[in-house]
Amino acid sequence: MTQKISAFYYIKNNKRRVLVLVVSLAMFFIASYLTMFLLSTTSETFKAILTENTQCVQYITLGGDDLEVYYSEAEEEYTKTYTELVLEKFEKIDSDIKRCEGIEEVFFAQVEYTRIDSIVGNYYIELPMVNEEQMNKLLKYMGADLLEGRLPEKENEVVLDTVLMKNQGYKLGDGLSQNENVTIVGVIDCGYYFGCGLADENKTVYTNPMICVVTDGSIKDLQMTLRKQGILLEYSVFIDIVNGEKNLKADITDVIATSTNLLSVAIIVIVAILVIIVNISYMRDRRSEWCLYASIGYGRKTIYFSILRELLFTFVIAFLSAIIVCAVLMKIMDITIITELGLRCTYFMPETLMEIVCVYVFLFALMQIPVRMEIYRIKTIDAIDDDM
Amino acid sequence: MFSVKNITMIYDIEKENKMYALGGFDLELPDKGLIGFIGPSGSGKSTLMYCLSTLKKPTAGEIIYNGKDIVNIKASERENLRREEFGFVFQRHFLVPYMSALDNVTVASKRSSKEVRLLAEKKLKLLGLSDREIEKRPSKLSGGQRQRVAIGRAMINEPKVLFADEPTAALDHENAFSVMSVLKEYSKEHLVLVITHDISILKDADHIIEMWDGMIKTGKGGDEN
Repeated sequence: MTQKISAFYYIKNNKRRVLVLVVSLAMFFIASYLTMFLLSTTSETFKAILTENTQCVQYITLGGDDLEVYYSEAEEEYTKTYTELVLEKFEKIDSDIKRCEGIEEVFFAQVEYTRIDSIVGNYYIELPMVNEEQMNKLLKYMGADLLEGRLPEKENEVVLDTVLMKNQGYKLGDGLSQNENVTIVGVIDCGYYFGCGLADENKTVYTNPMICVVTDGSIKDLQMTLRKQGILLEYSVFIDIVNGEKNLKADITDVIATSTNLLSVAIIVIVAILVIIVNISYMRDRRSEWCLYASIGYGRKTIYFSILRELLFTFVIAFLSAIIVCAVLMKIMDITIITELGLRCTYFMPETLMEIVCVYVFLFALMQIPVRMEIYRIKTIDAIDDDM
Repeated sequence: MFSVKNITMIYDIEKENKMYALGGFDLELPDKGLIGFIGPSGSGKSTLMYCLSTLKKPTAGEIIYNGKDIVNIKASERENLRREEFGFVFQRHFLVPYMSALDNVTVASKRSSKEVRLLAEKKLKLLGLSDREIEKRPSKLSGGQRQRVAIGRAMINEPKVLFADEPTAALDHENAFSVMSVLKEYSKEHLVLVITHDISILKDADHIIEMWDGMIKTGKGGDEN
């Protein structure tokens, strides 16, 4: 003998009402998850730039105090002399660095930049401009295949990976958006946000000089590695895996987290208010129904569990339908927007999923308030007749 | 089946002018048969029915049902009794507005859904509802049809005692007699207690108990004081 009231009596006869709650809850899920999905294009793309690129190529921007070359030391031909002094110093540091284990190549490079735009924010990627021999080594090391065009033959020519081309809408023959004098002559495919070209040999050291360090992937903290070898570059900036991870956290993850937290709180508050208002009105409408159940022998607990099952069903349907809708929308966005922009994304975000589940649990608990209030107002029909 | 001793129900017990809904009387009711309760409004008929059915607790007195005093039993036992052994037809039909007539009957069932659906259909057809009508919501049914659905709901668990408060109030005479014949048929194996203002529908009652000012005035059959 069953002593419970089936939740399906309400669900099958109140499809519209159930649908309103299902849609509200599903919309919350979809809005939250898709927001994080779109933001993942920023975090995933920049993560690839900051941590994956640096597994292959790392950079050192030498500080003036590390170079120990000052303008005052330059003599008559001011600029040229200074450049020569700097290059001399560079060569010495280069040869010291090359002795370190895990380092394959060290080049002096003039660095050009290209921008990568994500859904939110943008980032500038280093493009090492080196000599032909070094460029060929770099391309080989990065596993780059030429897809279109040709390799750089003259100074100020570059090749870019297909993702960078897509992102900025570059075509062969275009100049870099950051420096129109640098022409794109080829498209490569290497799986990294990477590009390189031939340096302008007439340029001076004022044009973004960096030490470009090709590693075997084993070096995470370049500064520490060099320090162990007695190369102290205390005033230089290192672009390596450790700093990449630090920058990713400080400049991207934390910044995104702050704004998404605010957005999430706003969405949760709005959804919670809406769901509570809708639920209160639904509960009120059903008071006489529960009074009937109480009169014909169903206890408050039985009635309460019946309502809980109805709510649980609503939440589960909302959750499952939202997952399906999200999966479809993410796939569509990935194909039509994200891949076309040369960006990366992630579909499965366990933290976001967990947060949504927590919010669902919170909303489920919140919805108990009007339910409990109505449960305690249940009377049997004799009491209703007395009131009348 | 029921043995009522000195049943008293006082409303506004803390006030100076106490209102005696039931004035303290004894009553014996048999295991089966159709018992009619008749009397003017405020005579205590409904209060007596609510007390017998455990919906109300009398101020004093005993109600012995199948040898057990049901006045002071636990709330869960009262609920169990109402669900397992009693059926109710209230003055107002109290149907759930969003459910079909059929669902309004099956929702009260203690059986599994498949067999109860067939049983509910059978009961509703017996009460005069067509195939189309049993799928309709209460708002699409006439007053008489709603009351018949309420009777169907009361009978779905084959209760030992069926309490019917004005079961024919919303029906015309033809329908009223047809409903009463269903209740009469049911009373051959069960106890049916019918409260009504209309003595004409009690022509087939085994006992008629007349109430007045919270007391039993006269009776045809039965043992009352």
